[in-house]
Amino acid sequence: MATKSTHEAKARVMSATDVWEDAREIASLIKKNLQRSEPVVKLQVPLSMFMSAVENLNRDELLILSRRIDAKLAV
Amino acid sequence: MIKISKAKSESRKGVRSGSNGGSLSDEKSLIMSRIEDKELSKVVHTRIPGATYAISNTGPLISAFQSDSFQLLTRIFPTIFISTVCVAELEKHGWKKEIKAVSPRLVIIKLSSREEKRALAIARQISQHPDTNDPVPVNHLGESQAIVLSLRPENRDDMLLLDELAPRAIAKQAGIKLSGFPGVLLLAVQVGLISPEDLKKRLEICKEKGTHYGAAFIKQVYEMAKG
Repeated sequence: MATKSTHEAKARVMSATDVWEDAREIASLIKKNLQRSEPVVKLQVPLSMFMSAVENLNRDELLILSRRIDAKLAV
Repeated sequence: MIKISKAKSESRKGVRSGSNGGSLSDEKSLIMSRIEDKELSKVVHTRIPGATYAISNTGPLISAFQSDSFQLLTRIFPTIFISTVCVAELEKHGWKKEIKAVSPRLVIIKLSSREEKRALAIARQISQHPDTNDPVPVNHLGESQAIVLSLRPENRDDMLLLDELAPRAIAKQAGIKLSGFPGVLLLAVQVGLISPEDLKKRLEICKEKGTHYGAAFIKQVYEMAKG
């Protein structure tokens, strides 16, 4: 079994302040990308109807929905 | 992929038997690399509207593998792109099995020859940067290729994952949005995907396994996560 090692172990890495900025940068980009996605039409439908529609989605469509939910939850 | 497996198998047979000498083995290796190049160039990725994708350098991915955080990364970024040089670096450090395990969430991108030249120029810049302690340009090809991938028009809204100071400074100058691995963990805490204690534990595991996150640094990030 190959021994696992670290890349450029002596390289100078970011500071804790940079980490804070990094997290803000990701949040800001996720928000921007979500807003830039195709226009969303808000439909007032009962939740049960939406859940029923989900039941009819195929695997690929469910995967798209799952990723979309993950992206929404990450904001 | 079947083609690749078969070619690999034949290549191994050639090496083992030694019936055709080293030259045939070398030739097969060359053919193998060309098949792989062809396969890699076929990679087409469909993007989900509104999702945010990441391009990663070698270091953040090693941290993710060390701390079993790759799945967490993909809860934020549906797909992570890496260059062929980063793949070679990961394999050199013993992470080949992990790369295979996370496919297809980890997509390998081959740079064009023009982009490779551009990456070499950036690697030279990194090697001369005051924040680096490695003056050898080829040792910075992983991060420079990640920067070049981030500069592609189709990747302009992607996040570059990069830990080292020198390439971060150069990428920022180019207007690239970036974060280190600890920044992704901090965001994961902020959105409730993990606890501050979990962040601390993951960074400590990385430190124990050789990644250059100091004890004071981990404590500071943990305090921020709690705050």
